[in-house]
Amino acid sequence: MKIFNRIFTALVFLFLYAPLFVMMFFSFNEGKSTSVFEGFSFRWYKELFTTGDTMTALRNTLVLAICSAAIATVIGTITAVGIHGMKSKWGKKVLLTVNDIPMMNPDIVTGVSLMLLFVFVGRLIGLSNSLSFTTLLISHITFNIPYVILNIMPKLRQTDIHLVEAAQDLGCPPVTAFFKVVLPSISSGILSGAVMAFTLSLDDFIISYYTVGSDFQTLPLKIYAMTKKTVKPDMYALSSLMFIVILLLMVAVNLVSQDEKKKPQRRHTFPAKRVVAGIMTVIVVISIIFALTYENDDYESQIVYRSTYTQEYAGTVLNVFNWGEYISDGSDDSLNVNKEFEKLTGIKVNYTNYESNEAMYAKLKSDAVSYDIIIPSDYMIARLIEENMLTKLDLSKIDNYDLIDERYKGLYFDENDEYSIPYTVGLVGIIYNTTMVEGTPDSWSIMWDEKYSGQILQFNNSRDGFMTAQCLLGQDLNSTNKADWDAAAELLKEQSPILGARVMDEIFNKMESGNAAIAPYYAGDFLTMQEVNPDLEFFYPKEGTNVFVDSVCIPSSVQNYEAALMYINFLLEPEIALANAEYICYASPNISVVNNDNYSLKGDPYLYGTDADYPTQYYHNLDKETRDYYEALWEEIIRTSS
Amino acid sequence: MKNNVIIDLKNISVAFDGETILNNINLFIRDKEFVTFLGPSGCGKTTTLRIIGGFLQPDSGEVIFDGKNVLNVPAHKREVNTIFQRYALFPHLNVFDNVAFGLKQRKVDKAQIKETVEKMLDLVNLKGFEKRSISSLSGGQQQRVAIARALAIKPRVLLLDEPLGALDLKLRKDMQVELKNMQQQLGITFIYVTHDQEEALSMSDTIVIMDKGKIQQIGTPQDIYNEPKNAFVADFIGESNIVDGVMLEDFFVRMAGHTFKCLDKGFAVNEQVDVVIRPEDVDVVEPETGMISGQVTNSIFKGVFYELIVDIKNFKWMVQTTKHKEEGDVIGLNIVPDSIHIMKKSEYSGQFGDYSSFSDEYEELDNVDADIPIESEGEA
Ligand SMILES: Nc1ncnc2c1ncn2[C@@H]1O[C@H](COP(=O)(O)OP(=O)(O)OP(=O)(O)O)[C@@H](O)[C@H]1O
Ligand SMILES: [Mg+2]
Repeated sequence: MKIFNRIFTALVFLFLYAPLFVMMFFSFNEGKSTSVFEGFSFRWYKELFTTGDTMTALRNTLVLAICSAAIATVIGTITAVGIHGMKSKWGKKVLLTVNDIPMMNPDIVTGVSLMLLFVFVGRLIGLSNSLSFTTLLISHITFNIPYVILNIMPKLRQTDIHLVEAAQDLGCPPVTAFFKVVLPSISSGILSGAVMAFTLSLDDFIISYYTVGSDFQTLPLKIYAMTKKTVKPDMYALSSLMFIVILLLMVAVNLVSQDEKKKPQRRHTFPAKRVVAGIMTVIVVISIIFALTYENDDYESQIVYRSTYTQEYAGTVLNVFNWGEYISDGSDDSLNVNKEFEKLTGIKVNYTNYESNEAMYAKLKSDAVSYDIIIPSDYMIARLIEENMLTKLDLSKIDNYDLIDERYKGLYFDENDEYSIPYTVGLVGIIYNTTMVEGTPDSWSIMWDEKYSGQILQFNNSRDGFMTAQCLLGQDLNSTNKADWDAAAELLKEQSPILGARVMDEIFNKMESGNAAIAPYYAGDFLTMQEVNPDLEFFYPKEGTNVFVDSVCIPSSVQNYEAALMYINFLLEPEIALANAEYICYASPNISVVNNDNYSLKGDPYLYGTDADYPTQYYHNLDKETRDYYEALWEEIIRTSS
Repeated sequence: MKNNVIIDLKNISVAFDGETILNNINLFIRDKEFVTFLGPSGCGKTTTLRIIGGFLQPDSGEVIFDGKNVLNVPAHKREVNTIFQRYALFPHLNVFDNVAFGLKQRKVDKAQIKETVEKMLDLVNLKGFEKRSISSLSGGQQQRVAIARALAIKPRVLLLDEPLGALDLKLRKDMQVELKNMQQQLGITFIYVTHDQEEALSMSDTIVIMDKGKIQQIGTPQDIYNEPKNAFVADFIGESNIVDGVMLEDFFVRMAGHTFKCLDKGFAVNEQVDVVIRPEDVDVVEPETGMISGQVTNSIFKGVFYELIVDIKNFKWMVQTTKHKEEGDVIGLNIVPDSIHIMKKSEYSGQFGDYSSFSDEYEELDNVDADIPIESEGEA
């Protein structure tokens, strides 16, 4: 029985800590993969400290956590003391229950309601940016206060109410009595409340997601936005470091409180625990200070630009809202595009990320945040134009527009090229593992081949999922004919039994590690995967496929229009566009890049293959009826397959 | 009569949650007097102290200190100090700093503080405990630190809420003497709360008996013992037989089927009264020579005397005698006029003074013997 207990306990701890150890392990991986270990290295730790981007997010997170924890602790302490001192027992009970409710509330409810409040108040007082660092800070303070109160209340209850009276009796005015007597007796509660508030704020995602503005991005938000591409391994390095720091903090807090309890008996022994706790606290504080003051500023620009850039808008702020991992950020010895722009123009770039067109749309539609630059995909641009949410671009100020390939001008969503300038182009094809698949496939039908049952991956979102079937059936991807969608759905249902999984960015792991044989995905991402697993191959199916264009736009809520134009022109600069193309790995619509001999992917058959072989179709913004129809079909497919 | 009065409580009433806790308290305390509040648990002793100390505002009434109404003076400015019932020592400070707390607040210089604190700790027998933390002290030691802390600042009036409750008998006796000496030496007015009637009788100048938020009697220990105002006081202080009687005329009371001579007068003819006879004031004689007679239902040897429970016309008396009597013996009882005390009927009449079963208070004192009389009653 005892042995069983031990094994059980060991298993529980294994499950709790295994993920963390795996993450730590891979943070020392030489390569990028999270499934194949390519040798030990400190590469990602070095990267972490040499690319400003991640450290900025970390610093933001820490600033937010420290400020919100400090303010919440002060407010929470005062409130707790106030509630405790209330005469009416009934009122006390009500207040404590009211205090408990926000903690039991799902974060998403808290987040959404706070956002609504901020937007409402923002409109009331006529702010264009109702959401900002301030609102984020207020939200964090708000959700932290109940936890602080929760930690202090029991200490107050334990504190003899007569202590204050005794102090007053001996001559202290009430306020002095509070500081001299009550505060010391509840200090451990205050400390644990503050630590709890700090850690909660540190890893909050959901509430931040709804209340953050355009000027600030925390680490959890940044990591979440990385889902378009994979999470970069320097994040593992950072998470490992944070885990260790928090572990030290927890151990230190526990040692101190243990020491406190045992004080009477061990008065004369050497307080070893206190010393250890002290050292740990010092380490934690030093690392926090390091993170806060870290500045990677050894940056020298040697780039020659086509256009001239003035300091005319120096000191102004530009809010850029982009996909995660969708700009060259200085990692891997690449160019830090935003930093380069800041140096060149003196304009401060607030760079924040989103993970999907729809998330970006929702944020924009809330009217609570204003952005100067966004980079939506084709169908979303059509929708934004339709809803008057974009501003026309003054092309006379974008000298480098002539570098855009003619093929990407006059696209369906912006026929007169008034609103958007292409940033990246991508095509969906099929990735397969040559050791697992026979011959050289050339059709979507391979995804329905029962030979590969259990080894086929499918998209885990409706539009892309349907696309694979629609292409095989030779349909128009933007059909409004319900019969077409029915037929595609039928085909997808047939496919369900032989699917290994429906996934999005887990495709990277599964294909790199050889866990799956066949998967539809973007050519650019295939190149990333092939770097890790050379057995992978890629083809564009003969029936045709989906093509997307992500373009740079200026939303109608723009605050700094001139700087935004400057930024767009800057993104088109040959050197800058090259750095981005190398970093993002998607095809570039910029001819200076495509023809550049230094471009490592120049003429890459996968990215820039022979475009005539297969028909390509864009997604259009479908009407609501069609959207609802295929969404319902998709839900049914998912339901019946599980 | 009201010369050198230091504290005067006038018509003090307090209610908590609609329940009356103090009901029209009127009381004055002279400078340097040792006043004791005595009463059962929950009768409002602590509440009265809190009003004097300034920690509680009465719903009505006045607190006069040195001739001035101090109801609006906050606690920290009143020249009154309290030793709290649950000590209220500061857990984050050591013994020295606890005792020094009031002095530091008064900005006394360091050397002076050290000297005073040491003197106080010496006084309460805690020399060498300066550096100890409060949580490492026993209950009695904590209580003594609380006493030292309050005395260190030499208050004019000291409120002591059961300050010796946690001490063992020996230490309690010693501290009683110490406290009384200090009170006299330092010339401090003591307002003292206790459960222990012996302590109250031996230490106090004046005793205030309280019950249910009302003062039942104020008087010297002798007054309270010898001339209780009602059945409650008679029962609460010492043991008493409280017997229903009729005042036939001045100096003659009839009870237990016999007419007794007494020293009391001024009652209406045939007025119903409560008659108090202390157990030690009853003479045990042969049945035929006694004024009244009864049968012993219980006899306990108490060392100096026997304590008998005697059934007299179905009313159980307690009698203390040096004569040896066994259960079942029939005895006669004589009572001299001086030993008879007549009280007017009150709300407490009929509640106390019958030993047919031991009162709660008695059970508490003598738990082992508690069920013997009940058994014997079962047999009768
Ligand atoms: N803050 C309060 N709220 C409600 N009731 C109270 C409060 N303080 C005291 N009481 C009630 O008032 C009554 C008198 O209390 P008090 O503390 O004065 O009694 P006490 O005579 O000191 O008793 P003890 O000998 O047990 O200390 C009790 O019934 C008590 O429950
Ligand atoms: Mg009390």
